Amino acid sequence: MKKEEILNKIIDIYENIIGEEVDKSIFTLESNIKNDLGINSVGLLYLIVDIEKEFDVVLHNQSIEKFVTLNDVVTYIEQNI
Amino acid sequence: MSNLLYFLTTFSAVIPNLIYFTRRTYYENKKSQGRFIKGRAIIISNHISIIDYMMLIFVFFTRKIRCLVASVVFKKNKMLNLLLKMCGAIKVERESYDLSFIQKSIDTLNKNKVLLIFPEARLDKDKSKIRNFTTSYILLALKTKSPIIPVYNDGNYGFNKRVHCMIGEKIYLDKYIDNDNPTKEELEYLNKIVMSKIKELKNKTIKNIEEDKEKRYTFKKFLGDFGRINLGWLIRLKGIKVHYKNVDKSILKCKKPFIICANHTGFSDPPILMGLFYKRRMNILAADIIFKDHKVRSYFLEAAGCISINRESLDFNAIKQSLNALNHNRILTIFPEGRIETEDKMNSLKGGAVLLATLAKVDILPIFIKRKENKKDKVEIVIGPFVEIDKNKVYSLKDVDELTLSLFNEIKSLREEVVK
Repeated sequence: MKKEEILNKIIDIYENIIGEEVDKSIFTLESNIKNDLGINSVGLLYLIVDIEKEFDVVLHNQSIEKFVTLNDVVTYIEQNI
Repeated sequence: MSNLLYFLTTFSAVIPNLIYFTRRTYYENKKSQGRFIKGRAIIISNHISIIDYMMLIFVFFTRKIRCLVASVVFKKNKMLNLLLKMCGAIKVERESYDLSFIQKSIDTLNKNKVLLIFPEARLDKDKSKIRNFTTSYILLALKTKSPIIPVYNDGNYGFNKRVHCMIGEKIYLDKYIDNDNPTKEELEYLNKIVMSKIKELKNKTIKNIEEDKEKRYTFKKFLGDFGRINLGWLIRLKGIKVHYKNVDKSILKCKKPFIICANHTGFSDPPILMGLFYKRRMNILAADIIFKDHKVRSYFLEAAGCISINRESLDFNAIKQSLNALNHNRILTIFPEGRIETEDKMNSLKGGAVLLATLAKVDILPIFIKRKENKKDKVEIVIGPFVEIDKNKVYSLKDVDELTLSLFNEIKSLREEVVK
């Protein structure tokens, strides 16, 4: 799966979580997970659980600690699917 | 003669096998591919330790396995050099690009023997990573029409440890392409198929390990059950006033998994709730600070079913353990205020409890625990009706926030039953 496809799927998951459509162009691989997504820690946990389910990857605290931007998440998924 | 040498080498490793690399073997499909290999085959495995070869010899113990080993390993020491030669390992000269190992491998496979290849070509002590595979095994598989047996191992070697190994179903690469001289793109395509299979086996191994942990009845579990049952009669002996609002006593015998959300008045709250629902196993989310630097206390807290959660950061491991508990039909107790409240008031609730309920599709049981004004007072609790979660709905963050607020109001209304 290509990085763009993974990013688009993550944005779809994000839209389901916040309950509304977003402008996909706002989110890039360089978007900061904590600052640019506009969701709190509950939202981040929700996002991570859904990412795990959607891509069938296994995530742990050790892998999540290294996630700063969406690129880190996408790279991890790319390497593990 | 070579078979005799192989047998002697493997026989000499029996005791280390029993002590240092005891194994738990899983199968993707045991009927399709178990530990017995018929005919020729190429075993492809991730590479975490130098012991991987020896471990896999014991996994597939009915066949002689020849392994492709870098020449650097042969040069490490004389004993290792001798052992590898006795096992029939095929030397691979990485630096000089000597490709004679390919012909030796083809000859081995054409004699219907089994070949083991670690296509990562390097040891990677980071057990979570699987490096990109080199592609020579694909050429061998296509030229000799040998099936590939993918294997994943977690490298958990050591005394008092167990390495977990999963054998996947055979992959016949000639099903995907017709010729045995693949192009670069075809090589990449086939390599991706095998790599994603190994990654799939890795995920399945992790899930199997968790399932095994759940099934095993350990001394810790016995301690937990023993303590819980004793708490049950102790609490009834000491006396506890239970009020029911819009529910009846039968709620204590409820068999489905659910989350208890209660206010937090003190350290006695978890044992009270455990004693109340003593017939069911219960897990309790507890702040990690009570586990830190207290090994003995941590042991007993874990035995009691406490799940450590770091309140300051994204503790995904705690969330997974909580979801796992609910998926195994247990009760999960959460104090969503997030801390003990010493004053006679209720703080706003954090959204984690409702989030877990929506993810696991379980209902929430609100409970109010009245603070004891005097030590001699009996504990009073109020149990309310289930806050039901719609099993078919996908909850958004807004829904979670609204539900958290209604849960807060529900617990507050339970408070009004006993606090005037």
